Amino acid sequence: MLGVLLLFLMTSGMAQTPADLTFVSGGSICAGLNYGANSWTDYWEGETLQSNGNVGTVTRQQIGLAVNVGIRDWANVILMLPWVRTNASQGTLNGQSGLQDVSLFVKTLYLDRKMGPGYLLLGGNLGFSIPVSPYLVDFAPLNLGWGTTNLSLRQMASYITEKGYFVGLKGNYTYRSNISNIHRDFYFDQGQAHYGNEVYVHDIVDWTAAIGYNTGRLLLEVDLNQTNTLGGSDIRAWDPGFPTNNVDFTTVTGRLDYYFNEGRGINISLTGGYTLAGRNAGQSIFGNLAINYLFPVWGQQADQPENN
Amino acid sequence: MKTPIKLLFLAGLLALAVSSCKKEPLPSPEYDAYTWSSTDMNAGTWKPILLASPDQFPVAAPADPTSAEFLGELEAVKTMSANPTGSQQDAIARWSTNGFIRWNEIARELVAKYFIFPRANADGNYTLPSPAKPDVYPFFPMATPPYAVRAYSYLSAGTFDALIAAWHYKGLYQRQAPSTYDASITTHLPNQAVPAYPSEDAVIAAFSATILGAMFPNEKAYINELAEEHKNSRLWAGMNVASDLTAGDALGREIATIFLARAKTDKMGAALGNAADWDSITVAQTAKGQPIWESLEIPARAMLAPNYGHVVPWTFSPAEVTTTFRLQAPPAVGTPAFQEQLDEVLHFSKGASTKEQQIAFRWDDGTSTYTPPGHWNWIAEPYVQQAHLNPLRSARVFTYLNMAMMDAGICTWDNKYFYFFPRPTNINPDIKTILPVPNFPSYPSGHSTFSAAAATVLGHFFPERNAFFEGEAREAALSRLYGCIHYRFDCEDGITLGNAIGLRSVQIAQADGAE
Repeated sequence: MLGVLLLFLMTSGMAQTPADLTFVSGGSICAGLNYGANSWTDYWEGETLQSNGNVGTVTRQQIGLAVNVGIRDWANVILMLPWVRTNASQGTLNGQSGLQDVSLFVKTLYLDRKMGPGYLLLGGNLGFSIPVSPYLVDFAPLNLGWGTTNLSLRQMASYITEKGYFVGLKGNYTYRSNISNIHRDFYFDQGQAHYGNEVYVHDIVDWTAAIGYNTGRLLLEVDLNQTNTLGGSDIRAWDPGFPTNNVDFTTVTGRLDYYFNEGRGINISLTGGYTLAGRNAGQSIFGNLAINYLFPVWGQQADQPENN
Repeated sequence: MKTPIKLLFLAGLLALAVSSCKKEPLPSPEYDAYTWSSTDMNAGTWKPILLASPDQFPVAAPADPTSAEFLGELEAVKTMSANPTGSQQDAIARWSTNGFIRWNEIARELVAKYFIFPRANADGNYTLPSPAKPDVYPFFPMATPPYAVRAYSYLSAGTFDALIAAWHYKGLYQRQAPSTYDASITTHLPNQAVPAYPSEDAVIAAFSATILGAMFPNEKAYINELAEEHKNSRLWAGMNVASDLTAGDALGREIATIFLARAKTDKMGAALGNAADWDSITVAQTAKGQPIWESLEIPARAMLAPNYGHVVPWTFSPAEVTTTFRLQAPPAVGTPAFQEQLDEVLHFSKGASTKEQQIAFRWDDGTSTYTPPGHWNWIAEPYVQQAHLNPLRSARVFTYLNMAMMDAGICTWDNKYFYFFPRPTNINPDIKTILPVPNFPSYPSGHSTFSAAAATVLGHFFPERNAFFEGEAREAALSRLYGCIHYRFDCEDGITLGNAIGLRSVQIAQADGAE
């Protein structure tokens, strides 16, 4: 599952992501690097799909550091820090690069219960992210990020058979702070003049339906994700985007994870996907490769989720 | 597994609590009502901008304060101001003691709405907005800085003239505010020591609505609604009787006719040019054998407003545009002096500091904004309010400010199309920008001339803040270098030009009888 929080913005495709119910066991750490790219030529200006010769193809690449600490078998703390680079293939606009937002997630498993021919898993995470460099926010589509401090709450349910086939459903709410400073004294939004450099942005909700196969060492998964900004304006005709835009999109993502050894060592995670539909969003093709190393640090915990 | 559930539940509650604290920023600034710092009862002797004399348009004498007609009006106001509803109170606060400033804000908002460029057609051409079909995309007007500064200048200068006339009649007829005649009338704003007939608010509302309605024809209904609210707010506030408003309204509309007549003949209608103009300009410039400006947009867009340099200025003759205010040629492309300045732009493209980038953004004032002249109107606003200037004095500041900026724009455009100087990226495509490259020649920088002209005028009216205005103008000018769309000489020569033009406006202000 690709945790798509925002237009053109990817979170890590690390093997145990905030948005799945795979856990690093207690006392182990899974750390690694990932590389992702996202590219679009056509984009939806409001609901109209078009391209713009002044940017051509917009490409966003990122190198991310991710560390997942297994506090318990059922509780992981995940830290992610991406370095992002943007580029427009045409026109004069200067691509940007730099550290984006650091994020921290606490992920827990509430329930792991045998039900019928398989197991029902329930879990969730609480996320926090904050910009770590003074990047230009009001520079769509080449901005590194949106400059907001976010809190997110995700809930996940999955049903997996003894043989490893599973279906899942996830929902996530992202609260976004105001943008504290877009470095200008005036902006026009929703038909109104606004005096001041602080910008109100709407929160985001995203849903994911997943289907796949998981043996513990091999994961194959297909996700359908729907992301909606809870309000905002459409991109004005032939204008650049603005942080208050009502960004919605639907993506389909495939994922393959493979652990070369049981319980420790190197694992890789490969994801790739496409934006099927959108509003004020790029029609992106995107992919991510994560290489992680899983290693025990302290004694295995006996603590297991209760089957209550 | 109760504990993690509780923890996540609590965290969720925390997130909701935090999110409910999120506040939407206020869309427009609010100011307290104030008592005007001067009455200016000699304003009838001031020199207007276009009016031949303050009594060029007659205003009939008001009804006698003891007449049944006037007493009836007093009773009506007493009822209307006794218990204004919530929305009426909002309107009173909105228009408050300086309705002129609000109309300037409305103009800025309209400019921001209409400052947007048409999209490319499928065949790679662009359609220009048509004043004959303003509501067909691309919508008319295209409120670029040349159009915007013209709107600001007509709005300000015409209001100034209209208020000079209003003040003349106020002094002539000496009819006071309704609460002077009936102390039981509830008032919601401070009483000013200036007669009430004709109402300055009705003059401002009628003049502003007429001018802005002509310049933003799609917005007439919205504008008229605001004008009605503005006038009615005076009744709800207990500050005017109906005949104060009727007389002011008529005067405002009459004075608008002479400003609209000037607008029809100021050559703005031809400023954008047509395909034949664009071709002949390009052919003539190419024949010079020097590198020239070319559109950097994809597909290439026609040059913006090549004939704006021919528009009639406010503060000097059209002949001076191409003589007094024609700049010396910038360093020729290929010379060491030019190369040095081109390399400086490349330096900012590769490694502008965060601070420099933020300065570029602060002054960009690009599409969907009030433009650089609008930015200077916004800069001026708090000084006018803090000095508690009455609407007449406020209009006077904004008149000389906006006339100077429009004239700066005219001379800038004249020089831009005389030299047709290439943008840095035209010469070195490695120069990437964090601002869209404006679609017209480089020399000199419009931001620099607009800002220097504005700072010179504001420094005259608020001398204690002169250094601040000059600093802001310099920052605005250099922001274009940091954004990599101008050379340093574009900015510096633009400042010189703007200062000289601003001075012309100041000289007229010094002789208008108000100082």
